[in-house]
Amino acid sequence: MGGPCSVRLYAASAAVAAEVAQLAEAQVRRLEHKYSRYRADSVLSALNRQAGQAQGALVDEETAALLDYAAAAWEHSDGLFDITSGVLRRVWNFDANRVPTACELAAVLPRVGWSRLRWERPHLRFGVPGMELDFGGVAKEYAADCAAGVCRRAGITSGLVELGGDIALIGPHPDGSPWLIGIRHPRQPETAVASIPLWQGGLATSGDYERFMLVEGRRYCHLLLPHSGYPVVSALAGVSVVADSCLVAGTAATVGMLKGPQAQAWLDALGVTALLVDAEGQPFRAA
Amino acid sequence: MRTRLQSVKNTRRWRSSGLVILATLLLSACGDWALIEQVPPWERGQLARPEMAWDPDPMQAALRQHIYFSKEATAGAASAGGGGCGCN
Amino acid sequence: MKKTCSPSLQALTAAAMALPGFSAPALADAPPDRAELGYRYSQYQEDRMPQSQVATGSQERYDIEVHQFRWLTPLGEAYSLAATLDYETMSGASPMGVSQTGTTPALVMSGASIADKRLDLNLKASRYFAEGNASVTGGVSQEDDYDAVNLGLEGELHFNQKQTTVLGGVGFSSDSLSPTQAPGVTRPTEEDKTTLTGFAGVAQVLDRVSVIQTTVTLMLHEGYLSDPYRSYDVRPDSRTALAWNTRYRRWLDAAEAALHLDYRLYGDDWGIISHTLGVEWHQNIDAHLRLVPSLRYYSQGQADFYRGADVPGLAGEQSSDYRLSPYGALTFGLAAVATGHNWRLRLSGERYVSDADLALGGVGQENPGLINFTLVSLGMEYLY
Repeated sequence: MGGPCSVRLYAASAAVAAEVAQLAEAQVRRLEHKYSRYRADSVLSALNRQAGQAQGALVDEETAALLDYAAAAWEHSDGLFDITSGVLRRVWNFDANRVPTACELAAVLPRVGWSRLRWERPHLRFGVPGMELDFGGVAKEYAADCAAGVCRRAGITSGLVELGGDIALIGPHPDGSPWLIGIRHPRQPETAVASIPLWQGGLATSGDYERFMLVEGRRYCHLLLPHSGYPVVSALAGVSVVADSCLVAGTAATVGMLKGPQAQAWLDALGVTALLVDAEGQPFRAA
Repeated sequence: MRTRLQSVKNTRRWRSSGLVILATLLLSACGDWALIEQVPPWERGQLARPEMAWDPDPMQAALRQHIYFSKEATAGAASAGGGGCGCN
Repeated sequence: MKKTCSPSLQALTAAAMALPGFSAPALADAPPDRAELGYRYSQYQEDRMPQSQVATGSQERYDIEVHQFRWLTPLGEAYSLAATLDYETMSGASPMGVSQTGTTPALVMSGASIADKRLDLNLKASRYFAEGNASVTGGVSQEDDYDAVNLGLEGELHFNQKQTTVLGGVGFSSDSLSPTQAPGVTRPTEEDKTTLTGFAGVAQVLDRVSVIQTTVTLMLHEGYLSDPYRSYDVRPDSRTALAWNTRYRRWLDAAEAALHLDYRLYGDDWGIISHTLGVEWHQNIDAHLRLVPSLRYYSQGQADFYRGADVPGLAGEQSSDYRLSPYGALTFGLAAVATGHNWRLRLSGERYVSDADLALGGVGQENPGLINFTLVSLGMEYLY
């Protein structure tokens, strides 16, 4: 999983802290291994292979619960949160600095869409050949929540888990005070634009700066709209969301970014605390 | 009432086989402990599958138990329920 | 600033909380989440006896039709109730004894066809706790010539995050016989027997794909244990038996199949020792279909008082019942299970063959009464 990963916790002794942190790390590694799209031996890779076949794939409990979650996220985001949209990266190569042609896009778009999946727990089948699942939008956030859960079950009450900027709280500082989470400036990684107090739950950020390319003066970010196949275009540069869990916060932040100008309205309707910033690091206002 | 004719020899044979059973059970229990690894609850998805149940088809299990109980000399399972029938 | 929680956020949070890694995993025992209504029809048919094995009477053996009904329902957060009702109709003839004519023994069969029906009702109420569950069971079984009542108590306790389970229970059955009288035959009129059962065991999750359970069951039978329809059948009036059951389940990822291995070792103070080995392979064919081939091997030794043929006038115990004779048996089975969103359909067939040659160890003379049978079932379940 990309980005810095850390576990910060209060424990009775350094030895206990090290032991618990190790448990949390093992949990993260397990999920990284399980849901990596880069490893041919990951559960996700096997799932992508089997679900494309006629008889479909038999899905384990944990993955099934993640698919159920993805289904809920798709349903409640007007189809913007779609774990089948990863296949669009086949034509959007951000390293090559090249915008795909309409033809290229038209070839992959039919393979995108949660509604094209046949998901009847515990069986999954792709309705269209060449589809692919990408847990990029859920696995890291879920792993942070799991790691925090492991620490809590080990008796830790104060601490947090951070995976690449996304945070799951174990609990507030021992005196009950919140953790202060700095929100980075979209264009100046070392600068914080705000700090959000967090007592519990999770915080996740989605930004247009994670992967992007500049072609002929235009900025194309990695946040691709599943309906059109094109990156979202708006002055919104970053969304940070606080929710009961890192997973839900991550989903809301992603959908917020994809909503573009409607982000604030959608996040307000959802009922989460969110911080929206534009490219200058200023509070974002819909034009 | 009928008189009970139980020879001493039989009783002894019974007792020794009982001991063998218990000894084997204890050994197998020890073996189990050495074999086990900690499996976190969220990795037990496969164990929760319906076909992994002790009796995936309870009605079939009940019928089989009933038939074997009435057609064979021996029976006995890990359950307290069920009664006799005139078939035996 | 706390905002109002929208239905969308509630749905997302609920879906997230269903994930296994979240905070405290749901480890507490819980009733089934859906109610289940099932019906199963079975036809049991014993092979006709060859003429050479019958001295007198019918060559027909038993045919039984079984209707099973099962209802399982959760009751609130912590209880469930299971009810089963079985209705059987039987017809055919049964052996009354074995006579030695010349060198080979042959069956003395009842002449007229026996017709009987059996009604069996069983209830099981369960209570679920954070660390286990407890059940009370009770049932009645009724036939023209036989009534039985049973009561039981059983439970499970989980340890080590539910990885280890200790289980146990006690049961009691009180049976009364009132054999059908026939002209010219002296049969007992009213007899009783009681059975006390106790079992204890351990189940253990071995790894993420396998689990094992081992239990010991002690059974104490007291009272009239003979067969009232056999002419010369005198058995001890008590029987103490011990059965050791070990069951193993393993999931095979590559095959998408579950392997079941069951073994039972049985011994009692009638001198009978038996071995039962069962193997089942639950193969997923696709999302909705599972095939289950099965094989069962059974071998039993004889009772101390077993006789190859009746000895009229012999003092003390004797029985020529094939069920107390030494033999072995094989059952071949195949079942298909089709599953839908809220239903299951099961079709199964089994063939049981018994033979003295299948017994472990040599058998001098095979009892002529050994049976072979075919069992065909069609079952359906509705979940709601």
